[in-house]
Amino acid sequence: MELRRTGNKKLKLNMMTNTARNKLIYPARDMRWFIPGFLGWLLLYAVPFVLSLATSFMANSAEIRFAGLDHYRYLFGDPYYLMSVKNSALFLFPVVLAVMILGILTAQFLFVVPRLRGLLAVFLLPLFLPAPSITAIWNAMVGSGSLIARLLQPRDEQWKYLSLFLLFIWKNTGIAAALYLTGMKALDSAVLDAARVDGANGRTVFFRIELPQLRNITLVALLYLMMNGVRVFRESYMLFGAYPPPNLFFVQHYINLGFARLDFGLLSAAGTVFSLLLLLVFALLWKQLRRREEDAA
Amino acid sequence: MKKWIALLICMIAMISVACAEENVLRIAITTEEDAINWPTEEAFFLECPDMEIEYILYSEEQLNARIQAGTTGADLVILPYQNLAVLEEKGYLTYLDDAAGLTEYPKQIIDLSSLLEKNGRLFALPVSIGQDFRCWDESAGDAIGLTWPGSEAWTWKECARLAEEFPKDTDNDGSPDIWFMTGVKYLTLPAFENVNTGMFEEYLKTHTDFSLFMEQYLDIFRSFMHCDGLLDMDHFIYDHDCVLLSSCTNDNPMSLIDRTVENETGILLFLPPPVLDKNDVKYPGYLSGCAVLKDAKAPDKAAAYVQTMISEEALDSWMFGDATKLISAKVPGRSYSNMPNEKYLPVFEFIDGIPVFRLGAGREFEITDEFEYSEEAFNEAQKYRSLLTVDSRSYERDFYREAYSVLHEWYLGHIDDNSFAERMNYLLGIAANRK
Repeated sequence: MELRRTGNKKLKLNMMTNTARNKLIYPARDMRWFIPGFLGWLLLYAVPFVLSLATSFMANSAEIRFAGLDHYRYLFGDPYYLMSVKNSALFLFPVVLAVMILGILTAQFLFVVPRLRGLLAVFLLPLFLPAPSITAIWNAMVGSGSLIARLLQPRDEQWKYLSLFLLFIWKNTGIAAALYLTGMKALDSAVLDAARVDGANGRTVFFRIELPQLRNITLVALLYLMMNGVRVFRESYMLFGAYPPPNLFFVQHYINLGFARLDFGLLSAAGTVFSLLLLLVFALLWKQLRRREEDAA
Repeated sequence: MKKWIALLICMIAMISVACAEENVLRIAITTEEDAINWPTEEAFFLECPDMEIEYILYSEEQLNARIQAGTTGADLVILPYQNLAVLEEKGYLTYLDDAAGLTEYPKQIIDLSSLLEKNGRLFALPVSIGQDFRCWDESAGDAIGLTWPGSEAWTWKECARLAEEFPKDTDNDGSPDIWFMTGVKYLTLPAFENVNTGMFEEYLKTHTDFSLFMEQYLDIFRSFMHCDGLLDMDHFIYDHDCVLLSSCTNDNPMSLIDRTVENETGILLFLPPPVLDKNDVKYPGYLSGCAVLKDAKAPDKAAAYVQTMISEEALDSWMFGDATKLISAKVPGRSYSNMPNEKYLPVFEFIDGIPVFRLGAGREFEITDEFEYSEEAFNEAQKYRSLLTVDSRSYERDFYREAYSVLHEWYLGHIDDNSFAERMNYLLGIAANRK
């Protein structure tokens, strides 16, 4: 431990991690401000997750009976669960990638044209609208009974996938753009100017200088969009109900149908497995991005 | 010392009050209509005059969550059959032999033992039953020299063959005026016009595998769907066109059997809907039932209510205008009049955010000593209603919406027969949680 002086105040204790890279300095007395949030997280997330985990080892019945790994064994042999995980991944990754690309491009556009930055409010508007309103509007615009559908008469399954895909992009591009724009505004303009003076064109500045410095923003955007991507079940349920086309049958649909059948143990196991898969993906992404930051440093 | 004794006495009194037995029987329901059971309620109050009945109205999701947590607060449930079947399967219900001493299916009510018994044990009693049936326009039939031979079962194959003889032009004005049936249009599915999906629906209600449909019924269905004898209602000409058959859904056919219903052109006769197989005659409909929860706080009161449901006092009465709740095997002798008794319709108040309706003895109903329909009509209707089959899946609306979407794709030629079968098997598979 070491003492650090900040301004005119002498701090009694600082907390520092061992690695120089992950240096976090929080005065111990300020940790108390985290307590309410931590308790809330505990009560609303950690405890329910642990209870759900416990339920996943119990039988699907009124009697409290230990079922061991029965539900997990069932899940990994259930083609509908495996299909739902595959569909969730096949929807999540392309849509998150699409939103990030559009978000970056939008942010770059607003960054180089400052007088149009007010447009960001328009892009952010869908985020503030309630989901039922959005789905009602969306259904009227592109739903099965809409003018577009009547004119085009598209294949129903593909159209539903496309409409959900576009809905997600419409709803989330704004926040991705806002995150990147914030990051871009925080970049050191001297570095960018120096690069331009050295002869770098716009594309080189963007890909070689701006983007690498926006890694942390990318990570935050990725995490946020993946969380939203998992929550797209809400819009999907409101648009297509509990029985969507096969390519839109997500893990949450599987869990939802299990809830109607009172298969609480099975649906808890399904949720636990999916959560762990997502956690693994996040952890890998985090590690990958932090490694690149180390290399850059 | 005196203060401590006083405090102790107060605490004991409070605990006693808290533990005092409430004279309330709590019934969890998911639709308001299930809170209207006047004959049973009045019979129950005759047996237990000090008791009150409290209906707690949950949504389906709320009820599932509370059942899992053991916090329904109810002794009984009145639910659709699908939900009762799931509760029974998962062990949340007490069988009625244990709960109320009903070791065999009560003979005084309509026989639905095939649905309400599991391994020979009764888990619920019927509360309301509605079924699909058809109406045959006698005047239209007479105009073309066609009479229905009787109310015996007929198949979709026979139905499709009959439909091919239509439309008919009986007034020789060059345009047809008698059609077989109306077609069906779904506004959410554009260009899906003038087809009849009855056969498709019936199959989905009674089967969990689409293969049989593809093998045995697809060609019949295909020809029936495109039949010229189906009237497109957009082209209906008033005072000119009429249909031979029309559909009724989720009702009781007593009025048609009694031939008391006249429409503008003549008399409508009762006709069962076509079935897929004459060796397996079952007519789709819906059923709601009453069951005892395993964690009932007042199991003896719940047992008393169940016994009352099949008592002479309850079964001898019916609520005028709600023939779906007629479960007696014998003609009732008394009717609870409709309009004068409207003041006793349930009014829910919110308690802790949950709609609750509480009622007690002392209501004064207007009752007449007559039954509107003939004994013959009653008996025939009850015999028909005992052939009930019920869709065992939950989420009916969403399931059928997606099924019609797949049907629409097939109808438009976007998917071939194999893809049609694959999609339907997927839907049936996830609904029934089959591997």
